[in-house]
Amino acid sequence: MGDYAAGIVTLLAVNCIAAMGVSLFTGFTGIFTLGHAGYMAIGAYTSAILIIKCGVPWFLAIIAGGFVAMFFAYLIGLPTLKLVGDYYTIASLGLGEAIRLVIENWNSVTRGARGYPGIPRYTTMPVAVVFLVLLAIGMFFIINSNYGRAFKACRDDYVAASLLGFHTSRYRVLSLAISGFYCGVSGALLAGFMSFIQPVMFDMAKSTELVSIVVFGGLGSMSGCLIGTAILTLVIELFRSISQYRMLIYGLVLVMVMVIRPEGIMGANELNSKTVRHMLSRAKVVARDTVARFALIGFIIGLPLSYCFQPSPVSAISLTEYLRYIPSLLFGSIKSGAPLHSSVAPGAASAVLIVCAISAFLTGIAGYIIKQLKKIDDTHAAQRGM
Amino acid sequence: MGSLIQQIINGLSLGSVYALIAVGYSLVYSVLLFSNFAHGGFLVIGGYICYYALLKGGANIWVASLAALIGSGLSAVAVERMAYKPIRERTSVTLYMLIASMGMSIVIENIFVVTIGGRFRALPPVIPMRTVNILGVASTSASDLLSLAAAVVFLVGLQLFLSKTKWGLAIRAASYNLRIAGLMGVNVNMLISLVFFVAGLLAAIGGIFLSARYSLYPQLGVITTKAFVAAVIGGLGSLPGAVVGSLILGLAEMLAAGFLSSQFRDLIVFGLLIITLIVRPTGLFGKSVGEKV
Repeated sequence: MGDYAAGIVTLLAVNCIAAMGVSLFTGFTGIFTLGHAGYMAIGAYTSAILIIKCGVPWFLAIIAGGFVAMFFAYLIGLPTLKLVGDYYTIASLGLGEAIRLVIENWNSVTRGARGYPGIPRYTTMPVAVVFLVLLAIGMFFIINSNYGRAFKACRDDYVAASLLGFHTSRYRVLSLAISGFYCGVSGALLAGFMSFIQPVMFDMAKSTELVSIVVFGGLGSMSGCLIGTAILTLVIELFRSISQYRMLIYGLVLVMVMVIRPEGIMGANELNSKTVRHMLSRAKVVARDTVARFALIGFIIGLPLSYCFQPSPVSAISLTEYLRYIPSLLFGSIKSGAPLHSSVAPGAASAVLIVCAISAFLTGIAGYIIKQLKKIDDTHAAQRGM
Repeated sequence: MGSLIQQIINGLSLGSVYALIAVGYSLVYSVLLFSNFAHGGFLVIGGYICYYALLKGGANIWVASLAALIGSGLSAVAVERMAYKPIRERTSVTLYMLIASMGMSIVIENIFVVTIGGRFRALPPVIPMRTVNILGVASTSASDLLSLAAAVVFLVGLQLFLSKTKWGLAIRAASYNLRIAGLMGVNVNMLISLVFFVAGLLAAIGGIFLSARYSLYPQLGVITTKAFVAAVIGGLGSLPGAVVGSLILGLAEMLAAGFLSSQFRDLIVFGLLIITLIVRPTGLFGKSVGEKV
């Protein structure tokens, strides 16, 4: 595996750990947070300072980073989580910024805004993956324990939960503390991966990214949050070249997900054989209904598009000639390596295929979205009719 | 002594700008019970409309401000119609609207980044910046006094609107219980649009004064974070609380900048937030929202 791929897998594992923490708090306990990057910052700086200044072994430093972040989360949770409503959300917004500001201005310990260099690169791919697996197993036990059920009860109906004898605010604080631990460990791993940390890395954009990953994957689904992290991390890597549109698309996707499918990719379901079977059968219906139809249209649009954007060797031939080659391009001649026209290289053939596939895919998605929007309209009409 | 009075005036003027933003945010919160993070976007829209009306349209400051107020109000209504209405008609989970508003705030900010570019722009010098001497003890800039006066005018206007008009009554009823207000014959969709229009309008005034005070850039909306903090200090959903919280915040920020160090001003703001939440969790004027059955 190349260095680049290993780097992406490591980054993915680090992001997954933080996303699991946020998922526990936002998805399972139902409180929105905009400050979890602050806990990552605490974890990152704690482990960096412990390793460089105190010579602590990196493994212990990571764990310490997690626990320090957990302690701060607990302290913050005590006053803010007694209340229902958006009090914690606003406090977390302020808190995330406050942590960043403290780090930026406390020059003697954190070296300020210029960042903290020279952290040993202890986070290799195996280390990150092992941490991810261990913490995921831990999270699995937490959400299936009595505590996990209590968190969900606080999310779904805190009045009913407190009637059943749950001390709801205490459970909220506990959930925040655990999620702080996960974010702290993730931050410590990030420090070891980058070997250089800076307060700007943990600003509000990072917090927003964490929470939107969780929303995208599905509130109340741990596997959904892992899938969401994988998709979004890869998409962000792919779209690095058009970075100025990236955030715009990001925001639009967030709004669209909330309007069309607020439960995210997975909803509150976990990835197991039952949901997979259910999803497959649903996918079949969706494919039959819309995607196939729109994909056909996309293919028809894709052909002329591929003519316009074809690689240079083919540009000399006319459109009719080009269209005549398509069957031979698609069937056989790619393999045989003997195209009808000498200038139609295999590269051109694959370009045709790629453009067709992309436009078919895009129109398929567009069709699905149109259909979903129509469905929403229908439900509204039905509700009004009642 | 002179510098103390000067810092107090500066603080009050900054606080009054925060108050305009915080009141709009609180108004939306009191009716729909969710934090509208796109509120900062309305401020930026107002600022840019004013900037382009002044620069390209050749309008004078009054026309430009009016255009900014109306444009920002209408865009707030449009955001509500596009992003929040489909959600609130389907579920009562306010978390979804909160996340959608987060998305809208990213969208608005980046629409400006992509189309106009992220560079800093200075508003043409239409708001007088000359120093004014107050009774010989302190001097302050005219724009500070002007923003203070504008905030007072608009907040009094809002208060009159809420207490004297029929729609004001409807909004107050909706802040107790939106559902029952709907059952009593209030057109809820119209009411929510109105609330968003008012919120956008107030944010635009804040936007104009902030872009005159600092400068105009797509991320200017981040400043609303402080208005949110002010609203929480005053008590979420309470309008007098939002005003008082904003004034406290503005004063604290300016006094910290003047007498400690300007690095501390943001820390002081968040420190105040944490202290308020520890001492009096519902804020100064907050309704009791503790858990009760």
